[in-house]
Amino acid sequence: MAPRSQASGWSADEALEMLYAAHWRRLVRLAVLLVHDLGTAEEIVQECFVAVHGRWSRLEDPDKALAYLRQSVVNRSRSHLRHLSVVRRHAEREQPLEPVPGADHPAYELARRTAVLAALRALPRRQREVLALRYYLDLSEAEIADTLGISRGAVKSHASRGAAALRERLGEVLEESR
Amino acid sequence: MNDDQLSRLLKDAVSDIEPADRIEELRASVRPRGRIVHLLHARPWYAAAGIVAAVICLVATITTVASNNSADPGFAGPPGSTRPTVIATDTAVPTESPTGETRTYAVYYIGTSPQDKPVLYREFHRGSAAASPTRLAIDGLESRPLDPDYVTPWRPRDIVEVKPDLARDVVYVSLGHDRLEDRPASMSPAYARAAVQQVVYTVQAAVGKRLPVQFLIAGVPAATVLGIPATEPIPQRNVLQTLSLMSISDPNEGETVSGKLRVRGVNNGFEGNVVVHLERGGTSYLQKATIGGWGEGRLFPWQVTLDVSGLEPGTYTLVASNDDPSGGQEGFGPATDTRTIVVK
Repeated sequence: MAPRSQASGWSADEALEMLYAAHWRRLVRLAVLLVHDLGTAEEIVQECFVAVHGRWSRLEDPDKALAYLRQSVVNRSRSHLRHLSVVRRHAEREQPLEPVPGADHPAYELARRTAVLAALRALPRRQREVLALRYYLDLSEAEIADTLGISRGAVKSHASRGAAALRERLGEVLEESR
Repeated sequence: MNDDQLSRLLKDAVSDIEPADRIEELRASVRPRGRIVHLLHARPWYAAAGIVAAVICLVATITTVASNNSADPGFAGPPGSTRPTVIATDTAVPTESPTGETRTYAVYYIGTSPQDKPVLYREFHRGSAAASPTRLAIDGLESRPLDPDYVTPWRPRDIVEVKPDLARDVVYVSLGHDRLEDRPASMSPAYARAAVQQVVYTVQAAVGKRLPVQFLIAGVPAATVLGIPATEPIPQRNVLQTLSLMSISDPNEGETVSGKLRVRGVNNGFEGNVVVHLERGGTSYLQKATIGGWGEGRLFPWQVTLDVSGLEPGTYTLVASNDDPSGGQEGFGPATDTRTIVVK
């Protein structure tokens, strides 16, 4: 599913199609971990894809494009949260019946998922970003440091504090999830 | 909790998030002004969708809890077995509490598959946040479904209490009277099994755990429920034999919609293909295809957005179907779910 690196002969339009096919879902899910709202996450990631299309002549390489996409998802999610703390959005809270996300057969997994998202939401912003990149995208410390523009030492300390806080909040949930 | 567990929890937390397909909007927003279409260079939508589907399957493999009970005696409702004759009474769906705080909960109801077997469909209802999830589950089971295509055999006071016992890994469901031990003559065995599983799936959703259900009558285990042996706790039956292979999650029945209508659901069907369209007066509108999932012992989420702003206002039927590779030539036709909606 990952674009081949030798395919850097792509036009910007082709790159957009391939990057979209390979990364749209995963990046939207990453954004959901950061901003907790699917509609907002889709908006954010859509903007990032438009931006990567515009920069394609400078990126030319799918791996660089992916790194750029990740970075913009994190940055735009952060700006969104900052904006949100100023403007409270009542409208979004009033949506009609929000179904339990996804819902393969049992809705019972909902409780666990909600608890995880809520615990993540309660963390300081940096810790949340580091944990999402590390445990959701499986990035290395070096990659996380590059994405966030911080030192590897800082990544380490955010990761360990964040993980400890999550463990504390989610201990019970984890026990229940066998 | 180690790193692997954290990793699993985070991946699982968003594993069911189904982003809308925005490739068309993206193409439009990067299209230079004045240039009309460059579809020749674009990958066909299904190629992209296929890759995305591969990604879902991968995620699904990682996160799915293995489906259970392969040893089940099978769901052998004969095709053409008698239609359910027990219909819900007209109890109202739970409404908001005076404070207006509400919570969404899932209830399973019985409908029919293309093979005319009783299968479960899930609806989301909204109830008072002041009520317990198990109380809401009982009310839901004993209330008329929103969708008139579904039914429930459970009447008010048939189920008096739902109580999980986490120490014993069981949920106790107390029935209100012993008439429920026997299967009424008008009810097929397949329908009775579905009715029992309707309770199992709904209470599991309410208690948030996949625990087997021990039915009690007057405080002691019932010998049978609707003729189904019940001395031992009854586990959830195989998903693919119990639930509809196509189920619309939202919009709800009767909802008024406008602009961009997001339709979400779950399916399991040939190559994962889902076809959604609106119908009115025998004419079909806004057909759209997407990918849910196929194989494995579970249902897969899907989602499409239909732009209803160009439609004449009125009542339409929203139809979501699995793909039928035979084009209707063979078999019973694909699993389908419908909703009546009002376009404003």
